Amino acid sequence: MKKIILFFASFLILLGSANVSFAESDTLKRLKKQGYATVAVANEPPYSDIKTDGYVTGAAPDVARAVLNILGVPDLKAEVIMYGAMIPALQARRVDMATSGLYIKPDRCESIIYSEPDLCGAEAFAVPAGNPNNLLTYEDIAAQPALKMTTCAGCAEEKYALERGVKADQIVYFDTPPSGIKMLQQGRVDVFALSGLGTQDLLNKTNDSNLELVMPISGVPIGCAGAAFNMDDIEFRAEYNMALAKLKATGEFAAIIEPYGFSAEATAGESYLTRCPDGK
Amino acid sequence: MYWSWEVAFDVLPQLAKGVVVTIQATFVASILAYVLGLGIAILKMSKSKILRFVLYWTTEFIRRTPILVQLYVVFYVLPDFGIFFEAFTCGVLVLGIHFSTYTAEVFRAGIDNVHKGQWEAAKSLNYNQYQTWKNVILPQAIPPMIPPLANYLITMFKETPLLAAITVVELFRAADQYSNSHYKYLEPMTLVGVFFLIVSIPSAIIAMKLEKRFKQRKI
Amino acid sequence: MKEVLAFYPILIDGTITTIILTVLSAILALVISFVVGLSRISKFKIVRIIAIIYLEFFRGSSALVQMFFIYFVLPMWGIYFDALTAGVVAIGCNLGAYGSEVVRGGVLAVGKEQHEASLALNYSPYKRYRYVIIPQAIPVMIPTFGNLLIELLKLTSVASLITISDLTFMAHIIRVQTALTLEPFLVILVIYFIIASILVKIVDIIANKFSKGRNIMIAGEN
Repeated sequence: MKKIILFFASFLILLGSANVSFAESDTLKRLKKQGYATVAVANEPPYSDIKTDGYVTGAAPDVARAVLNILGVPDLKAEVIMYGAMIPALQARRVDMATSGLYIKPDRCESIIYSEPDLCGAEAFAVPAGNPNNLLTYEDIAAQPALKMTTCAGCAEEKYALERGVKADQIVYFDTPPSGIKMLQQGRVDVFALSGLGTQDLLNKTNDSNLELVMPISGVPIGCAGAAFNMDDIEFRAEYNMALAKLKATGEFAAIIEPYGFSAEATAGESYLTRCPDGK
Repeated sequence: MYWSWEVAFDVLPQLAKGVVVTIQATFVASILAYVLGLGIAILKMSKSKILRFVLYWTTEFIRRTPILVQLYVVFYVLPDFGIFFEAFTCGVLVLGIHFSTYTAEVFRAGIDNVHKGQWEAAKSLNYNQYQTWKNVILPQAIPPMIPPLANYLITMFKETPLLAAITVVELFRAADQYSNSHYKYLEPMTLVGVFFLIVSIPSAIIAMKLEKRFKQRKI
Repeated sequence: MKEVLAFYPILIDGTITTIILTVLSAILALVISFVVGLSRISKFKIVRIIAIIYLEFFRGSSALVQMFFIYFVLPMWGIYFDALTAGVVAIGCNLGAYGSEVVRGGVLAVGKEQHEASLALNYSPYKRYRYVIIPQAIPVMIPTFGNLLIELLKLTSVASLITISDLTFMAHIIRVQTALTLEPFLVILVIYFIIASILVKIVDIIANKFSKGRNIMIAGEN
């Protein structure tokens, strides 16, 4: 009799411990307990936007808020961090996740992990009106070594340019997108490169008829951004993906991002598995 | 995270280019700061109350506001008003003007330290303003001013990383750009820090020696 | 300009952060100034040497580089500071180095007879410094500390480069939202000037209070 009880007891214990992988990750537990998640955003409208009272909105934070709500974390605290500083911030766990247009790129996958893509879009240039240097692709910039372009350090556009033959000393880095547009207006650079919707939003706000938008840029992949997490947060990432899938399934995802100009179908065919090597 | 010599040697060429820019910027900015500072000091001795008032509040405004913001204004805003400078020129101008407000004080103190009798003697010898300054006042005023002026040279050298904010690729920015592209922060930043140290510490020693040599002799 | 002023909650946030940064760094710098400054004239050689190393290290390198190092590099060795702490530590250590020279100069400026008199009264070194030397040294130190305080305030704007949400950082945020450049910078320049002027006035008042009834020759630079 004793043996049978012992057997059942150990069986139940095994069953119970097997359930641990179905329980919440430590990260999610912690976030639920404190009631909010700290999210890094870059303040690049319409990916992320800061209102006059400091409230953070925009396509990426709104999606993150909705997803976190499903997971039971009611609030979002945003930290404005430049793209180049997002990865160190995640590694140091200064923030719980990063969103707002951080493209999924293989070299980044070595330092952080991504969720499924949430915002995909084309790339764009801003150039002087009339596009005097006839720049339609990064290769065009590379073909005219006297030209200077500006983008942000550590951004996808920088890599695109360098991969397509643009020389390192042709690139001038801006610290924040309006500075880049200013440099374009002042003739310090000949072309400004950033995400399609980001560039469009800036040009609309700047309202300068001497500038022109070139979109989409051919020869570069559609840039897909996802939420990014610390490398150890594999379980949290899985939870996030499940909640994101739910959001997409109910159509709420589309309802959130489309007013910002993003397209829900663009993300449909993409997966971080194809963009990150080794299925990270 | 351990030190990687591979990364260190990889970033070195970029850093070397940055060092050249840093040294150039320091040199040109200092000259501007000295010349402008001397001019301000002399102007401040003017009899015109209005001139002194304007000079005082202008220099105070420059001195009490951050160099970084001044850099942003000269680089991004002035062109809208038709005043366009290259990034390097912007940086040198701002550094030079900002520190001229400090060197002006050094010049003023040095000039004040010249005994009043010297001015009177020069007048009795019928020297005009130019001769007074050139032959009597400045030769006595300048030696004690050299140590603090040398200190400001070193200070300006250490402020050059701020120029990175307006796209001047001096040493710090060279390292920062490398870090942002390769996600390696340890080696570039350490090398930058080391470089500043190996320039500053001998300079501090030289400055101390200068101070001993130019110890003020009261007349 | 209206659009910029509409962002006044963000500007207020930034100003508060700048002030907090200034105050905390100033406290740290003050403590370090005294510790290092007094160590420099200690009778123990090893203490003197450590103090000189600290002085040359933090005075001899650029504050911006120090900040970046603390914020970006230390985490790789497992030492995580949040942005604000990193800023306070960097600024405090940097200005503490300069301040230590002021403390040392001030203490050395106190006449030898004060030391001799306290010895005659059988004061312990602690008593000597605490009740005789330092109180006389302080009035001399205050004006230069005042200058360093303004430098400290200006240094906080550099903290914006390590993503601290100070006033300068907020100006960038407003620029992204409004696409204006002159107005945000103009506004923060004025705010910085006002804060600095208030600090100058406070230091003046403190200096006056401390030199009541004293005939102090203010030696040293500037």
